[in-house]
Amino acid sequence: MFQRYVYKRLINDTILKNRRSIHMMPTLPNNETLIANGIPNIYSGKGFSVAWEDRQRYLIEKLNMVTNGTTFESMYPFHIMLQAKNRKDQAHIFNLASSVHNNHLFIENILPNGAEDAVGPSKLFLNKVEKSFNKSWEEIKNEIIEVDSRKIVGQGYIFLIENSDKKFQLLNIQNNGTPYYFPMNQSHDLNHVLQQDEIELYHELKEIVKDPKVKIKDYSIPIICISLWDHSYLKDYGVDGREEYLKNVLNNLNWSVINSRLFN
Amino acid sequence: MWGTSKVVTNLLRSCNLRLVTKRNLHAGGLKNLIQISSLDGLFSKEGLDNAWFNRSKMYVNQLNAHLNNQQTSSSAADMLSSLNISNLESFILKYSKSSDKTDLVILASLLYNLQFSLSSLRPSLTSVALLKEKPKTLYNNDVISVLSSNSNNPSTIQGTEALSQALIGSFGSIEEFKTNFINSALSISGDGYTWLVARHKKNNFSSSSSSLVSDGLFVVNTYNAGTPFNIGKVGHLNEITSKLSNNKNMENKSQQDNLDMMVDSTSSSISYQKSVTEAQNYDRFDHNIHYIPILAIDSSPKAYLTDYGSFGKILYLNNIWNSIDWNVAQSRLPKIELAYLS
Repeated sequence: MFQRYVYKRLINDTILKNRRSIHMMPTLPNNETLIANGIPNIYSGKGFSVAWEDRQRYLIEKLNMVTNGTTFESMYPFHIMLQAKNRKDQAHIFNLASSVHNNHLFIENILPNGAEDAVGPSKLFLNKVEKSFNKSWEEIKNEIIEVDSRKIVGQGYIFLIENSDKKFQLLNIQNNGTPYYFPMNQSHDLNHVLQQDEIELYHELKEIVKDPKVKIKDYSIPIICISLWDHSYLKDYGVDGREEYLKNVLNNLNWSVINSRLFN
Repeated sequence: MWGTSKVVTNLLRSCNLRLVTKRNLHAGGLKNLIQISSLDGLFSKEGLDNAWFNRSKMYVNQLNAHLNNQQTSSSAADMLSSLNISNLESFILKYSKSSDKTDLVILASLLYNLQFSLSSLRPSLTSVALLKEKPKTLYNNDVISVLSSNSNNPSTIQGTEALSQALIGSFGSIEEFKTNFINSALSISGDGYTWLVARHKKNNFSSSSSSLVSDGLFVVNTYNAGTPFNIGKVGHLNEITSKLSNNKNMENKSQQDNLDMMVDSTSSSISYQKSVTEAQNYDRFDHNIHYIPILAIDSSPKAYLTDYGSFGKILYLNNIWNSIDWNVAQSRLPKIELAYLS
């Protein structure tokens, strides 16, 4: 009996010890060639290094520093972000975890397709775009460049999400916001005058968050993520090259990844 | 990488940005721009291009596009005819609450912040140990050795008695101010500026004298296109909210005659109540308080990414500290009330 108990303890201990305790860089397929040659039509090798290698490693090292020795240590960034989202004292942890997750989503949907056959947007995707916006995908791309990206003065991300009504929606996210939880979308920049509708939204949001009985459910799923952080375009496109960069990204998305993010 | 040749002269003068518009009103452009010849010890040539020249060009181009696209009242356009710091400041103060000029105010604020932060910089006088390579991890040994070699701070800043006195009076010591200032900048995760400001109360009993009197220096962070002027975003939100609730009341009572309506709407404007934090914030953004900017540090990745990389923000801030032109800062300092310097 006793022996068996010890044996069990031992197994448990080794399982515990083998649990990941620090966060690591995700390994991308063909990482070496990406660093050497970049992503065709989007990044040079150096540009890719700044946008992914340096940026992601920086975020992960910071995340390790702030989660070290806490319960967050053994969680995935996604779960850290969800746990920290409502805590004011954990805003810095939320920011890092959310950005780690967003930047990974971003690099995944722009990785080169694999040379054999160019996959385009699936019929399902194009139909959903038509149904949700009454506009074609080409028109939506223009809208992203000319309307949504301009709402982000500083750093941020642009998302195409599928909301719980199974409809597409464009989200512009300031700094490190997340698409998974609408009170933390951070779509409004409170540093300048807000329009009337934005203020109404803001107050609505505040009412919802204030009521502890209301459990906020947000089932949004990100379909496309594009980083507008300086790290992702400054090296290759220069300070005023954000629109050109955005155009290149939108025209060279990895559709096999994006199509698979949609539920068939 | 680091612009070892010191021949980078008159870069700004040669740049001489102009507002090229269809209207001749804006021909003055950025003529009166601050004159930075080079920033050795802080930026390489490419780094300075990204941190200043290309950025200011981009903002001016966007301003032009906006002015040409939409009908801007000629008084607003006049104000932007010369994009120097004082013009931009008065433009921001005048139009910061106007919702149809939001885009112009954003661009003006960005341009103002950028100019202001660069106007107090000079090439570093002390020999700064620079890294040959951008750091690839947080706090590697090279970074730590550079930071510690610069850590012996003087108790006063040479040649600027009044400023160091005011800093010591407000923060305790120069060291404490430096820690506060640099760490505030370090904590900005996206775009933003860290400011050293002098607080000035309009209702001050001594404000009858002609010169501005301040009651102390403070460190303030602003984000994206925020400015240190007393625009108090919380105050602004409250104003619009009460306006909105007024409008709603007006609609409800549209049957009644005009006189009744006026009286009712004023009495019912309290329908929106402030929460405790909002009230506190409202006090902090007291409309009688005015902040006079003295120094600013740019925390945008556009400033440090080219030369210092993702991991190098702390090195960049350390070099900024060594490049601050304290004489310029002192020239902006208002008179400080003696009671606060004891």
